[in-house]
Amino acid sequence: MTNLTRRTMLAGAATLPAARALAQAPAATEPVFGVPPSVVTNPPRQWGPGAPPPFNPDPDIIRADPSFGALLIGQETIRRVATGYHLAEGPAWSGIGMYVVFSDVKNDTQYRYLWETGEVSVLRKPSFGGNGNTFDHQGRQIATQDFFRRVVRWEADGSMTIIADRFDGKPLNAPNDVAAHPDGSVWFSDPTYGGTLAEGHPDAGTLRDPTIGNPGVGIQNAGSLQQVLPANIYRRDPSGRVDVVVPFENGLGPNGLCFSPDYKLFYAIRGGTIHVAEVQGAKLANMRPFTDCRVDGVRCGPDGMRADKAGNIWASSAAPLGYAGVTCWNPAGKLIGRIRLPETCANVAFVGPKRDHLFMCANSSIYLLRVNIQGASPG
Amino acid sequence: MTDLSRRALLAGAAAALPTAALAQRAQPVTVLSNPPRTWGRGAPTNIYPDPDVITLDPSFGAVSEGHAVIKRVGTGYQWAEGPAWCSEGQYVVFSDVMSDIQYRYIWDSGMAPIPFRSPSLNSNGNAFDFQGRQISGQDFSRRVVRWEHDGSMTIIADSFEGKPLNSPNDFACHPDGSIWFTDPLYGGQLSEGHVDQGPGPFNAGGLLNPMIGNPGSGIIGALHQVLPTQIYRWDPSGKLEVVATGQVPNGLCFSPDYKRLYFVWGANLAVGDVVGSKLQNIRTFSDGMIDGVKCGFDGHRCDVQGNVWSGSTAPLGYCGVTIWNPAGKAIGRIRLPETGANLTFCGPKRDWLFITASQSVYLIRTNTQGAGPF
Repeated sequence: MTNLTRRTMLAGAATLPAARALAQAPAATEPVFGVPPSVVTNPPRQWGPGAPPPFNPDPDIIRADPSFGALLIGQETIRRVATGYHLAEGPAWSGIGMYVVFSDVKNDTQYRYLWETGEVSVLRKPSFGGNGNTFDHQGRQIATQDFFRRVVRWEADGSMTIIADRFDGKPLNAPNDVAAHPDGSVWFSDPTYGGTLAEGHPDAGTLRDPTIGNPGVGIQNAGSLQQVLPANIYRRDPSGRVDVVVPFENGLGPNGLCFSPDYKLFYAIRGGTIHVAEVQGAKLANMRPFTDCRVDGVRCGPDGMRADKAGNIWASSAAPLGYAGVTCWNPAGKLIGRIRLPETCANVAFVGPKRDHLFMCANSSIYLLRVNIQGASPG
Repeated sequence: MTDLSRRALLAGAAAALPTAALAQRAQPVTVLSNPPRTWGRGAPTNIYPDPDVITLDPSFGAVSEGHAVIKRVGTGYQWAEGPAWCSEGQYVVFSDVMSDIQYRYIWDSGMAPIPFRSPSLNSNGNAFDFQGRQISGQDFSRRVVRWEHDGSMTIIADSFEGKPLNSPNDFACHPDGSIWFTDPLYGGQLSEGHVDQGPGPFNAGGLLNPMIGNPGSGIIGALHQVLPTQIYRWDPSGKLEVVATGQVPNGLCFSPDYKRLYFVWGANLAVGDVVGSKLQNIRTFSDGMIDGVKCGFDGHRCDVQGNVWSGSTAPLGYCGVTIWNPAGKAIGRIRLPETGANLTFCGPKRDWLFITASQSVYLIRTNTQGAGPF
């Protein structure tokens, strides 16, 4: 006898006539099922240490295609592991250090989630509007700094190197997301978001004054006073040379980017859709739309993304509640599954000793889900 | 008016004797005072400069920081060893050899060290190479391993000329990609790794059984130690060569210019000239005698000026850390309440000294930087 039917019987016993009826004519009992709370129920699912135990399979993991099942572990549920941020962004896994670094762009702080304890500590503050992060194939942290409008690298000896702050003699806008290629090159997008008051500093000569709250290093050193370049995607060669690989065109502002597991394909978020192109040495060829990120007719706006070992693309989704979270696309660009979160999601990374956990930076909180696949690349 | 003279005045007033205030000098507590200095979070603040940091030569003043006190940042270990600083990750990794756990002290959290790898297979020495990868010795499996950037582990060395290594102990990484390491016998002890099966140096009569407590997955190292205690150079090609043999080695480190290798050689600290892949002109650097007291060497590291900072095994009052200039002269020492086994420079600027001392780990800021990146 299951608990459910037993509970049904007890409920019956509470009302005497019903109990008598039950004793006289034992009818077949209809099973009674509960509805596990989810992101879209009322009251909604609760999160964090005080939340009731989650139910599996997780009601907020949605299979759009049967193939998604192979990437999941049925018993695993989404957990909120940290909260209280302004804009969580740029997660990256250090395979040597066993921690996830991530940025709170608007709080000017770079945090890390320590694997053994599950605790978050402040790694760098100020982070100078730190945004996207990754680790290159030599284990070095690559970070962007919205405030300084540049890309930096933290070396194995503890020093910091500026690896890109200009193109063609002109200052960069606000390098946003980065991906490291095994050839030593670093690919990064350069939209203009760091020009907002909240994320970096605004251009001079506007209503907003960039000198207020300037940490005092001299605004002339704190990135350019004006954003002058188009929002391109660049490839920074190990020689130091910086080339445009995706020019800004048709109003398609760039954002997150990643490589396929074999590094033959390059995915880029452009104008709220995902594009893909073939990597030919230092150049890209055949740039084309990969997905418009529409699910059930709802726009699931991507921000950051990572590929898994099977070549699926796990993209963050900024969408109305019910569609905010993560979308997962197979290499053909077909939606195979999605993860609902109670917040819009900015970026994701595969983390953990086996690199088989999805770490989701969703506005004010961090969510974690164990999956049945590994991230394609270190970092 | 200082607090001290004020207190003297009040004391005088209480006695109703209008005497002239006498300067009262209190002695700060040290590891030698009675009662002795206390440690840990509840301990009272100590005064600058730390009374347990002792200058033996004026030159020590240039590398020691006056505004610094020794702090105990972790305790409760059985045998703390092998500290190494990860600049990329901003943490100190160290081993509790005997409790089979590798810990790390997270710089930004400042909390007590947390278990990092458990079991550690009795990890002992640790180092980070020039590419930021962690090198570890595992006494239990009698081998040298490397943790890669992608999170995988590689066995760097477990045998020499077909014979199993004893228990690789301490590591020094050269910029040419080679790893120099010592291979004494200590991992053959019941407490630090596993004993030989049948009679062995740490298993008289073969009474001890190495299979008891063996995790059972075939990761136990060789069943017998057969090689002499030596120092090896592991070439990036995978080739292993002996660079010194004939004594029991222990800690080792390079000079800042990588032209010299310092290493514990029997009871002394020795130095040799690094010529390519060879070690030449091996001579005694120091016998460890200070005030006629033997300060035994274990692990050590160089600062950027070339001074050698070494753990000191000695009676209370002399155990802790000894500091030797490049000519082999003792210029300073740090008294700890426990035997200092090993140390490393650490911190974002690499200017703090992290000391693994028996059951505790200690931290003190210096006015110099560690020589190697790690």
